[in-house]
Amino acid sequence: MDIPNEHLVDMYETMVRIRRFEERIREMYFADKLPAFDIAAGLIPGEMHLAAGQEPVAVGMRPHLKAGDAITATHRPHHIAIAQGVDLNKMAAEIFGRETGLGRGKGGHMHLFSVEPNFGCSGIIGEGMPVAVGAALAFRFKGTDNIALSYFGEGAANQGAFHESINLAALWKLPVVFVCEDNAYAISVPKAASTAIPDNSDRASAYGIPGVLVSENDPVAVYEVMGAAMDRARRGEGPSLIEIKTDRLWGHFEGDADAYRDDEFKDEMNQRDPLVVFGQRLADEGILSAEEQTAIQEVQYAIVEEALEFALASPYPEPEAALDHVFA
Amino acid sequence: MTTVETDRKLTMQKAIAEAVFQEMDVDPSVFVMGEDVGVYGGIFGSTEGLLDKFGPERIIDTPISETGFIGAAVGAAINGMRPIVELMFVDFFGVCMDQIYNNMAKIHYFSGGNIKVPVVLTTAVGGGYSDAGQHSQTLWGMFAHLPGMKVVAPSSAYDAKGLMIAAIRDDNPVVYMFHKGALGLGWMVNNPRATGPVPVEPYEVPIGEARIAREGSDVTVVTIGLSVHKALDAAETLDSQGVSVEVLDLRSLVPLDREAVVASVQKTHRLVVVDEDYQSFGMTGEIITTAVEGAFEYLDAPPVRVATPDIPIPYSHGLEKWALPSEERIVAAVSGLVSG
Amino acid sequence: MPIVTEAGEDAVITAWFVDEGQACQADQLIAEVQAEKIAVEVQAPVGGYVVNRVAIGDPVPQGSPICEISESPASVSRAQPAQIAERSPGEPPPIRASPAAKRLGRELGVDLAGIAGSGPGGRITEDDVRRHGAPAPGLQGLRAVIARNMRQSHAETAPVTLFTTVEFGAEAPANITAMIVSSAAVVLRDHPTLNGSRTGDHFVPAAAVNLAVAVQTDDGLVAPVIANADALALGALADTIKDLGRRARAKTLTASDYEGGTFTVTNLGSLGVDGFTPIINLPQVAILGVGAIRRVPAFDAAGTVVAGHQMVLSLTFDHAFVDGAPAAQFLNDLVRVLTAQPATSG
Repeated sequence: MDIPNEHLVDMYETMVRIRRFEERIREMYFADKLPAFDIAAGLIPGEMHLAAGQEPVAVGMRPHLKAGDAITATHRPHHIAIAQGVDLNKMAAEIFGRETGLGRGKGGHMHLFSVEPNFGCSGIIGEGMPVAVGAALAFRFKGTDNIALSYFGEGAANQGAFHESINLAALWKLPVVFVCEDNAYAISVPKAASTAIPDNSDRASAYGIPGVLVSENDPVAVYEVMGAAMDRARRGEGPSLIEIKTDRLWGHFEGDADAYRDDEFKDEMNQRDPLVVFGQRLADEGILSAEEQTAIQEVQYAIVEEALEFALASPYPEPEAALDHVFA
Repeated sequence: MTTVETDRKLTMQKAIAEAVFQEMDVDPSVFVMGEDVGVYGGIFGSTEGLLDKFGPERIIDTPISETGFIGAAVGAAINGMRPIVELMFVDFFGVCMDQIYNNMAKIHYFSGGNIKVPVVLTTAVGGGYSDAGQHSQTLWGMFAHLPGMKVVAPSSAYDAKGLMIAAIRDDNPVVYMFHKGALGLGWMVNNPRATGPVPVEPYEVPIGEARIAREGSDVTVVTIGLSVHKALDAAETLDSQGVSVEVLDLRSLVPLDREAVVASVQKTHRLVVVDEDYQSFGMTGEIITTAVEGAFEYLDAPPVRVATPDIPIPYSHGLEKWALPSEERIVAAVSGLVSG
Repeated sequence: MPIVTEAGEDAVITAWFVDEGQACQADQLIAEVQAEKIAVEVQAPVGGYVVNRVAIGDPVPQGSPICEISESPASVSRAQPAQIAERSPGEPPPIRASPAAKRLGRELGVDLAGIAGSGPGGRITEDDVRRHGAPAPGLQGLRAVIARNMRQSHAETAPVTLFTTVEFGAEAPANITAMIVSSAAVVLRDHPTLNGSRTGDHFVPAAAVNLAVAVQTDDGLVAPVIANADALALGALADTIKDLGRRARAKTLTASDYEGGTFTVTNLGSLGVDGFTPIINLPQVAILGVGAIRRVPAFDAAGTVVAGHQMVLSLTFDHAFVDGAPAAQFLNDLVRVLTAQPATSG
C-alpha cells in the first residue's frame, strides 16, 4: 500500500474507537429500557441509529482533512463525527442529554453540532447536503482552501435536495465532496426497490462531475478515492460524487427487529466485518501485530469509557433552560 | 409615533434596495442569493441596481432550487457569512420549508447557542391583483407560529429600510416579508402610502417593536403589512363620522410587541384586528388572546377580526376583493363595535 | 350486547360509531365493546335510528342491550348533553356586562343590577354605567367626620337618656345656653363621674371642667370646647360662646379648639325641640341636651294658676360607666342651681 503507515494505524485506531463507542452506546441504550421496550425510558431516550460496520466510510477521509473543513452528516452520525475529531466527551454527554453536551442537551443524537471541528448533522434526509454547499460557498468567499464534505445515504440520493445540491455545487464549481454511504437499505427498503439505477455514482454524469464507486467496504479504498476528490475540490476544480458500498451491521435503529434482512444476508455481512478484515490485513502485512492491536484496543476502549463516564457524571440541564438559546 | 425628519421620499421597494446596498457596502460578509436577484434586480425590485455595484459574486442568480440555495444560505451563515436569500413568493415555501423551519430556525438551539445562523430570508407576500391562490398569500401566521425565526413585515418605506438593516445585522434568522402591494411598484395599482420619507443615512428600526401609525381613543385597530394602509384609510373615513381610531402597525410578528397591543386596548377598550392572512389559527387569534390576557378588564366589547376567510384566494377580481380585508370591511367592523 | 367471554364479566362500550339518534342500516358497524381486554365490534341488527345509547365507559352486563334501534328518530334524547348549566331557582340571573363596565362599576360604586344594558343582547356597556351616573358622592369632609364619630359613639356606648322638666317662673331666662353651661360647669365639679374622658374601658375623671358647646354650621354640627368653664363668670362665658359660634360658622376654629372636652351641652331649643336623645360626644361619658322654653300655666304656692315657663333637659349618659341614680342626681343638682339663679343674666 502507498499509504503512510501512520495513516493506516490512525485509521485502524479510529475504527476501533468508533466500533467500541457504538457497542457501548448500544449496551447502555437497551440497559434500562427492557424487558418491555419503552423508547422514552432510560439514560439514552429516543431513537438511536448506530453505524457499526460503516467505519471505513468515515475513517477514509480523516487523514485528508484540514482544520476548518466542514462536514454535514445524517441521523446516523457517530462514526463521521468521531472520525472528524469531534470532542467525544461532549458528544457522549449530548447523547445522554446532559448540560455539558455539544448542544447542552437540546439536540441529542441526531442533531450534533460542533464548531471545531466544523460538524453538523440532521434528522431530515438530505437536509445537510445544501448546507455543505453553503459552507463551500463561504470558503470561496473567504478565499480559504477549506472544503465541505456532505455525507448521506443511498436512500437520500432520491430526495430532491440531493439533486439540487449537486447541481448547485457543480454549476458554481464549489469545493464539495458528496459521499453516499450505500448500506443497501433505507430502513427496510432495499436499494433495488428505490433507485432507478444500480449505482448513484453514475448520477454524477448528469451534473458533469466525476462520480466514483467504491465497491468494497475498505478503508484503504475509501482513503484513496476520498483523497483524490478532496484534493480536486481544494484545487478549485469543483465537486465530486463518491458512492461507497458499506455494511450496516445492525438494524436501522436500535430496537429494529431487522426482520426484512434475512439471516443469510446478515451472516455474509458479519463475515466481512471491516474491522476484522482490516485488522487481519494490517497484521498480515506486518503493520500492526495482534499484540499491538490488542494494545490499541485497550487504549481506545479507555477513551470511550472516559467519554461515557464524563457523560454519566454530568448534570442534566435545568428544566427552564428549555427556553434558552432560541435566539442569539 | 415617529416623525421622520427628512424631505427625501422613496418607495418601499427602493428603500429596501437601498438598505441592502448600504449594508453590503460596509460588510463584505453580506451577499444576496435568489432567483432573478441579479440581472433582473429581483422580481419585485428588492435588489434593483445591486448587480452593477457588487457583481455576480455577491449578487447571485440561482437555479430554481429553493431547497438547495436556501440550505446553502444556512451553510454559508454557519460558516461566517451573512446571506440575504430570497424566496421569490412566500407561496413557494412548500418546496423548501424543511430548510427554513427545521434547519435554519433550529440549529442555534440544537447547538446549545454555540452556532449562529444570521440569514435574512426575504420574500414577497400578499394579494389584491388577481395572482390567484398560489401567488397571493401572506402566511406570516404560519412562519410566526414556528419557533426559532424572527418575522417582520414593514408597511412603510421608512420601516422597510430600517427593518432590513436591522435584519441584516441581527445574528438570528429573520424572515423579511414585504407586501407586493405596499412596494410602490409602477406595475401595480398606484398606492400613495407606499412612498414616504426615508433618511439617507443607514438606521435601524428595532425588530419586535410596534408603531402607532395613528393615535386614537375610541377603537384600536391592530394590523400589519398592506392592511395598515387600509386601516389608515378607514380611520380617516371614521374620523369624519366622529370615531377616533388608533392604528397599531405591528411591524414584527416575532418577537411580538404584546405590550403595545395591551397598552392600546387599555386606552380605547375596543379592538379590531385586521389580517390579510387566513383567519383561523393565526395572527388575529394571537392578538385577541394577547388583549384578553393583558387587558381583559378594559374590554368593553368582544374583539372583532377582519381577515381573509379560510379559502384559497380566488382569481376573479370581484371574488378576491371581497375576500381580502378592505377599507370598507374595516369601517364596518369599527362602526359595529362602537355602536353595539 | 354480544356475549363476549365465558367468564361473563360486565363489558364496557369503548366506542360509538353513530351519534345518538343517528340513522343506521342493518349490519352497519355501530359500536365497539370490550370485556376482559377482548374487543368486539357490534353491528346493528336492523336498520333504524340508534337511541338510548349506553355511555362509553359505563359497565353493561353481557347480554344486556347497549342501545335501541328505533323506527323513528327519538324526539327526546336521553343522552342530550346539557348545553346550559342549570341554575338553582333561588339564584338571581347573571348580569351581562362587559369587563370594562364591571370595572367601572366597581370604581364608581355603582350596582350593575339596576342598569339596563344597551349592548348586544342587553349587555351593559361602559357607557351605560357612565350614563347611569355615579351615586351621590360619598361622605366627604366634615360630614364624613361627623358620620364616623356618631356611628362610633352609637357602637361603643350604652346610652340612656333622662328627661327632666325645669320650671322657671313668670320670666323666661335669657341666654339659656350660657346659663346652662355656667351652671353645669359648677355642678360637674361635684359629679366627677360624669366629667372626663374614657379610653377603651377606662374612664378618667378630669380635674378641669372643659365644656364643649355644640354649634350648628352649614357643614354640620361642631362642638368647640370652653376650657375651665367653671372658672368663667357668666358674662365672659356668654361672650366666649358667642365667639366660638361665630368662628365655627366662619370656619376659623382650629384643632386645639376641639381638644380636651369633658362634657358637652347641646341646645335644640331654638328650633322648638322639647326633649331629645343627644349622642354622647366621645371620649366623654355624658351630654346634656337643652330644649325649648315654653310658656305654660303653673301653680303658685297658693295653688293658683299663674304664668310660668318650662324647659326640658335631656341628659344622655353612658351606662357602661355611669348609673342612672348618679346621673339623676346630677340632673337634680343642676335643676336646683338653674332655678336658683336670677331669671335674667347680666
